[in-house]
Amino acid sequence: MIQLTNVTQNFGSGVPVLHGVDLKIAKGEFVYVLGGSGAGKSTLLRLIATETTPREGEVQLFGYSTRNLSSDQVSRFRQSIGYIPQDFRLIGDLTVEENIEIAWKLGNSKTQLQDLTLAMQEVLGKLKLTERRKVRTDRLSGGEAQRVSIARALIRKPEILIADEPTGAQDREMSWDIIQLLHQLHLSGSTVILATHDREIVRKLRKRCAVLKEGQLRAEDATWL
Amino acid sequence: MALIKIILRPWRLAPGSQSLSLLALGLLIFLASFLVWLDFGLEPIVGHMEGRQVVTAFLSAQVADADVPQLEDSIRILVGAGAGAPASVAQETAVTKSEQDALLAKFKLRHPQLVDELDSLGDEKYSLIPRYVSVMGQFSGVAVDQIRALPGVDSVDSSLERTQQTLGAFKSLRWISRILVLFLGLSVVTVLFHLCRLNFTVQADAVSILSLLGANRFWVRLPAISLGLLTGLVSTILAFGLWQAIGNQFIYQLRHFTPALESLPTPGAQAFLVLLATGLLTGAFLGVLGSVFFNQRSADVWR
Repeated sequence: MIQLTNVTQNFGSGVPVLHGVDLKIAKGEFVYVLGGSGAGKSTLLRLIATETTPREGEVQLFGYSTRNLSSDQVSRFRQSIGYIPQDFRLIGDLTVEENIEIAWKLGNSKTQLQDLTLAMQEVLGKLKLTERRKVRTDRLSGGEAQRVSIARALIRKPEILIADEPTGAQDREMSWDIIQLLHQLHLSGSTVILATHDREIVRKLRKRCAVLKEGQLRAEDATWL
Repeated sequence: MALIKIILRPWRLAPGSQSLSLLALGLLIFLASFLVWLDFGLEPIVGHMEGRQVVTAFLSAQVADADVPQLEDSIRILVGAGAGAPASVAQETAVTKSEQDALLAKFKLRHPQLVDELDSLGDEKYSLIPRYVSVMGQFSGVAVDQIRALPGVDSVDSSLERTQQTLGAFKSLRWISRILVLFLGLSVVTVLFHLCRLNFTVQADAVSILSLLGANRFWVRLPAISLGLLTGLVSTILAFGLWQAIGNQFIYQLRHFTPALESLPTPGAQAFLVLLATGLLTGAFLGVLGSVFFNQRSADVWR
């Protein structure tokens, strides 16, 4: 379903962030992307989320190379992906509901408004955002904003969920609730790719680990734990 | 609703800049349309002044009434409208006693005492009232000089000679109008470009997020194009308002500047439609320019 072949990615200065990364993720898998700060976790996720293309090598989604996709194909891929970026990427002057609604509408153009209402209630409730639904997202705390970003990704029930440090701004209890939500999505058949540096989460919910170190992948590296 | 908020975001975050830009655009469109109207309005007037020359030959008092028809014929021949001339060149001539009476009748309306005094002179009055042969058409300067040289002609008045300066002024005005329209067009493009940059800066992050969430090319471009069309529409309405408020006064002043400009047309509904189309095209240009910015600047997000 997702395949990275010899992927190398540089920053503008030419310093390699990822170097010769090979990774294959099957449909319905739950994979942790682990590594220290600056190891290249976010860059790897951005590549899978089609936010950028690799300088060298190839990223394939559903058998298609992301480098050769037309803009319409990129749109369709993005609609099938739930992406939780590390920096949340919320539209600050829209409310919590509006941010989530836009994502839902772009991913479910043919479904009914009633479905949106139900899905919205469910996701807001699960992420403890019901009381904050009418608040502009630039007036939320960091933790709340992160939960809106998660809600925006989850409401689509995506085929692939890409989560970059989704618990980084949460307390311990909320962090575990979020991981449970991602796990439920995984159990319903979605592929989940979760970047984290929280060893406790990885220990509690044992899944396949792809460990990045200095831009290189050391899959199933148990020593990281 | 959320999309409308994104489209109108520049208005919510920078209302002052948007209002001033719209005002500037409205004013520039108004001025440009006024100058275009002036150029089009002057065209038939200049054409008429150049093409419909009136030459009046005042006859000497010594010319006997019986000799006037012969003099008329001489003038017709000199201006190329003699017997045998094509019908299209046929010129009008008008003369003498009966016209002298008509002239007196006209005078009587304004100067009744003067006409009464002339009437008291009997037939002698006709020696005091000028007789003339008037021809209308397009003539060369040589023909006018030849009429002037005819025996029995006291003096010749040519409307073209009389209006030469006015005609030159009108032609200069048309030329200046076109140059100014060009400059105003450049100013419009400059304002649009800056407005586009402003709108892009304000909308960029929201559009990037839409793109990241799977918005296709249409939805990515929609905010910029919608805002552009809205800007074009509102600036046109402003320009139309300026026409209503001061345009008609401008026209009134121009028409009273010289009688030659009395026939300047009043812009009608058709002119407003042209104005509206111009505004919408201007807005569409702004929108397309803005959406091009999104494609270029959001290259990482939108491919």
